[in-house]
Amino acid sequence: MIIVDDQLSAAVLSERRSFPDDVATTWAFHFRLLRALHDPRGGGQLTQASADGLLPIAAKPPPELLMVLDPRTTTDQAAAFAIADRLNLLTAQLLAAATHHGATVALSDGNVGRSWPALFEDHGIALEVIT
Amino acid sequence: MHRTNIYLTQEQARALDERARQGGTTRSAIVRDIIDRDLGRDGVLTEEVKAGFAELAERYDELTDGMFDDDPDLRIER
Repeated sequence: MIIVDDQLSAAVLSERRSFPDDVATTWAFHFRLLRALHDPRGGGQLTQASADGLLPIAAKPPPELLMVLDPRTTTDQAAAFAIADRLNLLTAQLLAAATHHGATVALSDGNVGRSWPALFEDHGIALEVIT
Repeated sequence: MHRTNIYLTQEQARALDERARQGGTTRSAIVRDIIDRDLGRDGVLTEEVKAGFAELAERYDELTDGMFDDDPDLRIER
């Protein structure tokens, strides 16, 4: 499994980008994607298609393209990471999901937190940065 | 929610369990998603919608610039 961020989730749903494994995203990245589409500064500025057309697919992505991981499975682990590594919800949930599923994390280069490469390495999580 | 019982083949049940395990969700949730898609209650991934997602992905930094800065749970410290 490969866990992707919100930007790569959009790229996967465009079918312009694919990965050689099952692709999933976390609840928090999914929330960011939907929030961007609801925000007039985000989805409202699209020229190719209206955010209204994208929202139904973004809200319930075809699982063969993109699965949204149920956060309840890893809530306890995420909470533990949040305390041990002083992480916010987004980061703790991502780390817990990758650990639980033994997944690779793929992030767009603008979405790599300053401390994340070292953090993921410490936890044995493979990180792929997509430019 | 309406509770109902259905009979599945072993192969269908195994496939559902595998999909649920991968997504960290339940067999029931997977069945509901499949029914919604088959009955056309979800969106359709048309070429226009795919182009919209492509534009969103390409312009994501610009379109979301500063959008999550005020939310400590969603912010990415770069």
